[in-house]
Amino acid sequence: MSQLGIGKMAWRNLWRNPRRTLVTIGTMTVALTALVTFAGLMRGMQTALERNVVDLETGDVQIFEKGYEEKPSLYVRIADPDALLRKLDQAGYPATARLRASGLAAAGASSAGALLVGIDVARDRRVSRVWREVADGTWLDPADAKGVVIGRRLAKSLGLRPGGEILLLTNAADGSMANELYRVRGVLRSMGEVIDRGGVFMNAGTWRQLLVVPDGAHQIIVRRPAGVDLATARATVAKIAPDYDVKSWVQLLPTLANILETQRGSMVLIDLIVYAAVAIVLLNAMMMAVFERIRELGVLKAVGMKPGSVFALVAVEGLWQTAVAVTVGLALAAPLLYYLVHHGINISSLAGASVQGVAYNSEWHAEIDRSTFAGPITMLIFAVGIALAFPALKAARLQPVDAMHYR
Amino acid sequence: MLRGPALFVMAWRNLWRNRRRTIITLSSLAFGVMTAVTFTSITDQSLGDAIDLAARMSNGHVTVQERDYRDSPSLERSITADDALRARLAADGDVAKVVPRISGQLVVATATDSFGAGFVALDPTLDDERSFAPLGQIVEGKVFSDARGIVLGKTLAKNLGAAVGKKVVYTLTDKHGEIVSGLGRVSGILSTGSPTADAALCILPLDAVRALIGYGPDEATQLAVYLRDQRRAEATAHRLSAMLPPNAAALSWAEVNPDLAGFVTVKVIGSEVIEIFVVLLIAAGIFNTLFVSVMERLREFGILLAIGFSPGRLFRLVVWESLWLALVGLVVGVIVTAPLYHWMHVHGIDMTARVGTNRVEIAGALMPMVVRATIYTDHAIIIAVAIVAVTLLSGLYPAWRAARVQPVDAIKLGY
Amino acid sequence: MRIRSFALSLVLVPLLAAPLLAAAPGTPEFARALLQKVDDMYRGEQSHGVMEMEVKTRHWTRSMSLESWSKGKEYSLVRILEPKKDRGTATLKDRHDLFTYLNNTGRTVKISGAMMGGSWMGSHFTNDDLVHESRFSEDFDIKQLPDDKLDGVPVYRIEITPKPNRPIVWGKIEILVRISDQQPLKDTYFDEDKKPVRELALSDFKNIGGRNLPTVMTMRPLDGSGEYTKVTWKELSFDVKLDPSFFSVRNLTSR
Repeated sequence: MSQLGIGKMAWRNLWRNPRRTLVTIGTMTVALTALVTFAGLMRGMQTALERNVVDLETGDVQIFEKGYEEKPSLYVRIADPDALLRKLDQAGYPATARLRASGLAAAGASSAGALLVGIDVARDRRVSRVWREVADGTWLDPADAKGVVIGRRLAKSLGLRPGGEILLLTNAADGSMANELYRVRGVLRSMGEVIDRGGVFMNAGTWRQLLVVPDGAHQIIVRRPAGVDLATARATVAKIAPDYDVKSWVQLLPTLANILETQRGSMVLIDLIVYAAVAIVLLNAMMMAVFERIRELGVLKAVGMKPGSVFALVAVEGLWQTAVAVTVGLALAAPLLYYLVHHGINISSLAGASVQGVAYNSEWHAEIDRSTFAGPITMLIFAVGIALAFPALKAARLQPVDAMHYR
Repeated sequence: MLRGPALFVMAWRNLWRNRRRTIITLSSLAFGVMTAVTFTSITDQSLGDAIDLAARMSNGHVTVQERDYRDSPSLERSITADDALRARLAADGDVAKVVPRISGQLVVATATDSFGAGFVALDPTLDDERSFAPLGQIVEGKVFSDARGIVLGKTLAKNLGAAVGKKVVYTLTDKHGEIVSGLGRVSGILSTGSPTADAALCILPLDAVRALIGYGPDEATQLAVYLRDQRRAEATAHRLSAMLPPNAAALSWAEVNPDLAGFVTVKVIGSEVIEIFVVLLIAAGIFNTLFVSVMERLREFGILLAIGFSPGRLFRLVVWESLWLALVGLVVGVIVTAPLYHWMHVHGIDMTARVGTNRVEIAGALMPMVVRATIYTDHAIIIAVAIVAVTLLSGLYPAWRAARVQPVDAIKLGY
Repeated sequence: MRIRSFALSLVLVPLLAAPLLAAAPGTPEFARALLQKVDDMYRGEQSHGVMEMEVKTRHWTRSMSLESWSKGKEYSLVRILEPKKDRGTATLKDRHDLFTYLNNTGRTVKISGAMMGGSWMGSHFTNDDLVHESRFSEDFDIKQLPDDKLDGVPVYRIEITPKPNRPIVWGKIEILVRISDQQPLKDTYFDEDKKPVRELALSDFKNIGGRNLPTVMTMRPLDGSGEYTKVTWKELSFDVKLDPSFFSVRNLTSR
C-alpha cells in the first residue's frame, strides 16, 4: 500500500466512527489545553509571588555606594546618580534613585523613629508600585512640596490621618538640626515592618532641602527588562556601575528568596506529577480506542494487509488525531492564555476581606514562553506514541482469525 | 418485574466483563488520586513550613500582647501573665508552648560608636531555636547563660567594634518613660543571612531587661504561643482571648503579620485553582471511559429494556458501575500513593540538583532543597470525596444516555 | 562620629577652684576624696552663662553661641543665640526628661530612647550624655598612679575604672590634675582593650564669675579624624537663684 494511501485510509477510518474519534480527539485537546494553561499559570504564580516583594520596595537589583549597606550614613552616597540612571535607561533597565536618612517624626505628644525617603516621583512609578498602595488619601505630587506619605503603623502611633500635620526632625548634612512641618497626603497599606513602623516618603527636592544634601543619592533601584533573568541582570548592572555595590534582591532578602526557591522546588515536582497524570489519562483514551478496533484490524489483515501496514495505519491514525488535537487545542488555548496573560485572575476578589489593608499583588498572570507549549506537546506525542504502540503491535501480529474473535 | 442478581452485583460484573478497559480506567483514577494527594500534600507542607518559619522568627503562631500594642508598640504597653495564667494557656489542647518575651527598640553603644537596634529579651531555658529561629543562627559564641549576656547581629557587632567577651551598654526608655541603661557582655554573634537583620537585632536576657525597665517578675510585652498545628491559629486565638485579662488580646499570626497572610492567601487560591484543574482533567478521562463503555453496550441495554428492565433501573445500573469504579479506583489510588507519600513525608525528595537559578547561601551554606509532604486529614477526605463525586458526575450523562435507549432501534441497528 | 561622655556635665557645670584637701596626696583616700569633691561640687551649683561651641567634623564645621542655665546635674536649659536662623532653639533637661524646642517650627519634642544616641546640638556629645548621670565615686574604682608631667606641668594621675556591672562603655578613664592648684587638665577615655579613644582637654584658665576656671574645653576623638568639639565660656555667673520650676517646658519656648 502506498504511503499516501495509508494516510488517506487512516483519515477515512477515523471518520467512520465519528463519535469515538471525536471523543478521543476531544480528550487529547482538553488535556493539551489544560496543560498549556496550567504551565502558563504555574510559571506566572512563581513570578506573582516574587513580584509581591520585588515590585514594592526592593526591585530586582540595587546599587549602593560601597559600605553603605552595612553602615548606612547620610554621607555615604553615590556621587553622580544621574549618570548611572542615564546608562541604565540606555540599556533598557528602568531605574530610579532614592535618598535615605533616619530621623524623628512627631505629632502632638507622640514621636517615633522615622526613615525619611526622598524619591523622584515620576521615575519611581516605573520601578516600584508603592504609589498604588495608598490606603487612605493620595500619593505624592511633585507640585506639593510639603506633602508626605507615611507608613501605616507610624500613622497609628502618631494618631495621624491624611490632612494631619507631621514634624520631621533630623541631623542635616551641615550639622544643623533640621526640622520642618509637613502635611500627610496619604497613609500606606501594610508593606513590611520598616515602612509600616517609620516610613515617610517625600519628594526628592523636599528631602534635599530638609537634609541639606544637594547632590548624590543613597540607593538606585533597578528593574530588569522582560526576558532577562535575574543573574544576568545583576551582572549587566554591575558592569554599568563597576565601582559600586550591586546586589540582587536575592542577596538582599535571602530568607525570602529561600522560601520562594522552596516553593519553586515543589512546583517542579508538581509539574512532573501532573504531566504523568495527564499522560495516563491520554494513554487510557488511546489504548481503549485502538483495542476496540482489534476486530476490524484483524479483518484488514485477513484481506491481505501486511502487519507493517497495519501498524503504520494505526500509527498514522494516531498522528492525525494528535495533529487535529494540537491544532484545536492551541486554537482554544490561545485566547484563554491571552486573557490570562494580559488580564490575569484577580485573587483578591477570590480572597475576600481577609487581606484588605495589605499591599500585595492581587493579579495572577500566566506567563508563556516556548517551553509552555513545547512541554505539553512533547508529552502528548510521547503519550500517544506509547498508547498506540502496544495495541498496534498486538494488532499487527495477531492472526486474523483470533483478531476477529477478539473481545 | 425482573428478578435476578442485585443491581450492584450486576454492575460489578459488568465492569469486569471488559477487564482491560476497567483496569485502564482504574489506573486513570489511581493516578488522579496520586496527583491530587501529592500536589495537596506538597502545598500543605510548604505553606505550613512558611508559616512555622514566620512564627519562629516572630512571636509564635498566636501572640498575646496588650490590646493596642500592635498599633502603638511601646514598653509601656505590657501584659502581666502569672504562672497560673501561663499554665492555663499552655493547657489548651492545641498549644505546644508558651513563652514570655519583651521586645522593643534600644540604642547599643561601645566606646567606638552607638547604633539603634531592635531587641528581643527572652529566657534561653524556655526558648530555643525551635521557638526563636535566630537562636539557631549564632555563629560565634553562644546564647547567654546569665543576666549579663547579650547576643548581637554580625553587622551590628562589626559596626560597634564589639566581639565575644566585650562589653556594650544598651539604653532604652523604661516602663515609665524614663531612660535607663544596662551593661551586657557579648556572649554570641548571630548571622541570619539578611544584612538588615544582622545590623539591627540583639537578644537580651529576659530577667535583666525586666529589672532594668521596671517590669514585675511576670510582666512582658508578648507571650509567644506555639501550636502543634498552625492551621488552628485563628481558632486558638479566639479561645485564648477568653482567658485573658481585659487589657490583653490574643492575635493569630495572620493578624500580626499581614504580609505573610497575603502571601499565603495567594498561594492557597492558586493551589485551589490548580486542584480544580486536576479534578476536571480526571473527570474528562473518566467521562471518556464511561461514555465509550455505554455506547458500546447500547444493543445489550436495548435487550435489557426489551425484557422488562426499567429505564430508571438502567440508569441506576450505570451509576452503580461508575460508583464501583470510583470506590475501587480510590482504594487502588490510595494503595499506589501510600508508599510515595510515605517516602515524601519521612524523607522528602531532594530537588537541589534540578532547581538552579536563585540559590541562596545562609551562613555560608547552601540550603538543601528538600521537598516534603504532609497532608491534613480534612484535605485527604476532601480529595476522596471529590474523586468519588467527580466519577459519579461524569457517569451521569452516559447513564442518562443509556436509559434513553430505544430498545427496537438499539437491537435492530445492532450497536 | 558620636561620642558618649559622662563628662558633658563638666562642660555645662564649670568646675570650681578646689581648696586644698585634707587627705595627703599619695594616700588611697586622696584620689577618692578628690573625685568625691568633684561629685559634690555639682550638687546645688547654679549657674548662668554664655558659651561658644565650635564643632568640626569630617563633613562640616559649625560655630554656635549658646546661653545656658543649670542647677546641679539635674536641671539645665540651653538656648541657641547664634546662628540667627537657629536662634531660640533650646534643650531642656528636667531631671530624667529631655525636651527640645525647635524655633523653626515652634514645636517641642520630648526626646525618647530612640533619639538618645543622637548628637546634642550637632556636637560630639549625645543627648544621652545630658541625661546619663554617673557619680564618679559610686560608679568607679579609683586608683592613683605615679605623678607625671603634662607639657612640663606636674600633674597627679588618677585612673578610674568602672565598677563591674555599671553601664559604662569605657574600659578606664585617666584624669590628669594639676598639682599646684588641683585643677583637672585632661581626661583620657580608654576602651576595654586599653586603647585611648578620646580626650577632654581643659585649658585657658581665667578668672570668671569670681572664680578661677578653665574657660575652654575641647573634646577630641583620638581616631586621627581631626574632629573635635570646643566649648569656650564667654560669660559666667554663679550669683543666680534658680528655682527648679524655672526649668520647665513653658520656659523652653519663651522668647
